[in-house]
Amino acid sequence: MSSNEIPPKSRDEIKAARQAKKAAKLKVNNKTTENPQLTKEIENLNENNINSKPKVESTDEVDKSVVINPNAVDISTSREQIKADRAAKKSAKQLKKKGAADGESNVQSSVKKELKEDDSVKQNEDMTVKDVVETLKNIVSVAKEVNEITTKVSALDLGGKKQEETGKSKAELRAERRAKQEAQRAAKQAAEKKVVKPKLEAPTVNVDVPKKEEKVIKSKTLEKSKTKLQLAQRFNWFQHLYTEFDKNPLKKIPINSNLHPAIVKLGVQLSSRVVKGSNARCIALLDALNKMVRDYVLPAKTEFSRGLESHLASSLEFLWTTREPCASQINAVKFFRHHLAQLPNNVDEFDAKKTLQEEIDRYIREQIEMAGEAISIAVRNKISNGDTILTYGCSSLIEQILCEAWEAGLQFRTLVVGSRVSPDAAEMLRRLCARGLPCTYVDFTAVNYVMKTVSKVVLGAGALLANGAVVSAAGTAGVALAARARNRPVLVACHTHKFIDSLYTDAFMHNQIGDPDDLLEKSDDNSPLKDWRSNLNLTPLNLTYDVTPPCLITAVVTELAILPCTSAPVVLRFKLSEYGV
Amino acid sequence: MKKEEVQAIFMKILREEEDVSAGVAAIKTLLTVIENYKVSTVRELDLNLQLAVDAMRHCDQPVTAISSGCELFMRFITFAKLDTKSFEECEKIMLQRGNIFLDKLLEARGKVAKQALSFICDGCKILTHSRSRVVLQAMIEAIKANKRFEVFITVSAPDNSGEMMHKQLVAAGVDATLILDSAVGYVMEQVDIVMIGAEGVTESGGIINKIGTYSLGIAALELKKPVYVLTESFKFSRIYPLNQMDLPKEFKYLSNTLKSGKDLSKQHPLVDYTPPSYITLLFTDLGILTPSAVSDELIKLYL
Repeated sequence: MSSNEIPPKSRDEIKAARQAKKAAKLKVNNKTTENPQLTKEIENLNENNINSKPKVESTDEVDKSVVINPNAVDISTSREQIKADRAAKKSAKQLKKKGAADGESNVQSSVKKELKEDDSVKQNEDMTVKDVVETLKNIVSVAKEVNEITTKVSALDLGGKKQEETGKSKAELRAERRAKQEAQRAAKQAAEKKVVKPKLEAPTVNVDVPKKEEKVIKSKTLEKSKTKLQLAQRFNWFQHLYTEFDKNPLKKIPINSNLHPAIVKLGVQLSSRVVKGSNARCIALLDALNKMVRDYVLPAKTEFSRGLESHLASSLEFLWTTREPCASQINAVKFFRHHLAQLPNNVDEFDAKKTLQEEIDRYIREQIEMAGEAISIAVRNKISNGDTILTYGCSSLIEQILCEAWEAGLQFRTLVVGSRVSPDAAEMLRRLCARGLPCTYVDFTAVNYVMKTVSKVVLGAGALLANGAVVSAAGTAGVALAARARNRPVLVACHTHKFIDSLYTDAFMHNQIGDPDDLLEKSDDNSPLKDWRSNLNLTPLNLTYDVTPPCLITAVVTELAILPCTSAPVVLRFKLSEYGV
Repeated sequence: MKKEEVQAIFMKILREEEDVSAGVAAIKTLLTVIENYKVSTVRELDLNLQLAVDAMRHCDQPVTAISSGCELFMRFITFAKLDTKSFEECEKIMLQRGNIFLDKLLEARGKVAKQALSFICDGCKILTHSRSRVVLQAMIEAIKANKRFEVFITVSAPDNSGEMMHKQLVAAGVDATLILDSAVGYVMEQVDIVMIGAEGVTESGGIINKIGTYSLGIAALELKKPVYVLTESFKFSRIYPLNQMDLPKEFKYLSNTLKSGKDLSKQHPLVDYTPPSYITLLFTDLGILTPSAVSDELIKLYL
């Protein structure tokens, strides 16, 4: 009854007392840090890298049986301390573990080290927020691998370590690693703000690294860095010209695109430079278009011209990604579109195809073949016996002119000038020699010297611009300049289908960057260019085209007439009135 | 129709009409051929005209103007051929058109002279080369307009045609001075403009003219004097010389010299080629053109 006499404690009071007791117990527990449940909670928190309230509540729910609500605040505050303690402990353990691992399993540890080094390198190099996200992903993937390895290591170490780290489970180890990574990440993020810009290209390499085994990753990155120019190594004035030139254009074909095989084939040929030279490219394009038209199947309820136009657009889009179109291709496409647009609305599919194919054939015949013959005759009339004709690089038209002039009985010498960078001139020389023409080959460096023995310079052209400037293989302008310096007439042989109405005065605006490796002297092992990729101060630049100003050109030989190159606009106007393109 | 007959007609026109240039004379000859030698088909007519042109080219006269004039005339004729039915009709139209064409050509000189008028200012000194009917007319026009100016005329070897030009200018009341060909450089620094005629205008916009024009042009460019070429548009021809060597032989030498089989490199050429870069402006009946505009006009004409 005494118990009854005592002022009856309410349930609430008892509860409160219990709570107080438990709180005391908990505090003790916190200090010992051996409470497995708590560590698990913290692990979870660390894993998710979120310390928001919902998480705290969820842990409370899990542990409701042990921990009562009011103490939740205590736990959350004490967590910070726990973390700090654990971080310190872990770093100590890591050190120990490393030492042990070194002793016992060299292979695994070395792999692990490499990974760690990778991590740190990456972290130093990272720059933007995006990159941070990417590297986080990488870190997660790498961390998984580290996880596996460490489990193995710990399994090996278990015998030795058990006495010291009895309380430690695999989960704890994992948690340690997470904490370590977080710390690294934090350090890295801090560092990022300070790091300047030295290695911008690194993230792009990282992004492309797929989540595979380490060796595969390494070989991949090597490959990538081969095809992609480092940003710092791009020539400043030509930044806009650099494209991601991938050697395998087939990757660029969108899935489910119904590109005609001829188009795909042409794309591969263009990108691998199997088809090169503006005439060849133009003919190849028209041939591919011809096949495309032939095999085109008109979808139901579609107007022929519209249906084919959209098909054409997607095909061209693919082709132009493989290599930028040249003037002759642009004109050919313009011509094709012109005739496509002129088809009547209710045209029969068969008739339309026939018309287009005929037009394509006519274009090739008139604009390229017959025009070539006319130009050949015009230039032949300008060649006299005993002349020395200098030509630069390779041009199918020049070859035709020279061979036909030779077969017509003219006695002249041909001087082929080539540069080491491009093998075109050698090809030209081969073709001319095969036809029995007396030839001399000199390198571009000797052009000034040989110019005094030359009587006429005949050059090919990639495009003729509205201001009369000639876009041609890089080096042409140099040859024209040398000829000008010695007052040698410079003839440019150019079909009118290469005239375009755009206008630029230098080679900066429009150009193509060739493969920098072409600049390398392959036979020379000590070439300073050999390891240009690793030397950020070295910037090889291989331009494909240059622009010869009109003042260096005596005359342009076209199928219409021999013209001063300032008459290019007249030819364009004439063609517009005659062909509508 | 015989070669000699055509040549006789041609030489007669040249002799009788002092004022007519070789090109116009050639066109007149062709018109006479159409009128006098009756044929019954277009083909025959064509052959006849070809023969006549060939005959005139072997006439011991400077060929440049003849060939360009004839080429233009033939072009004119071929246009007429296409759109008629009977041959008589065709012939009639040809003659009609030929005469219109000739009238236009004769007007051309007056037009050119008028255009040049504003470029001759009071007190200026003009250097000219050899004899040119267009330049003469332009200067007479200027005198009529009461402009006071001074003219230097080169003697122009080997035919000393400058002397005749000098005589005609003095007669017209122009203050004219005859200078040696070799004095071009000496005089150049005091002249204000260089005004020359042309035998032919090439597609490049350069000119073919009496020998010595090229050196005159070079001197003028060096001393930064403007070079004005006064020429009728029928002298535009479709040739494109690359340099002096590339000029056709029949332009450079008389047909007699060519026939004689002498070593041509030892002969004096009659004409030289002045590239477009030495020419400031061309005064033609089509308007005042820059050299590069010539090929535009030629393309319009022939394509």
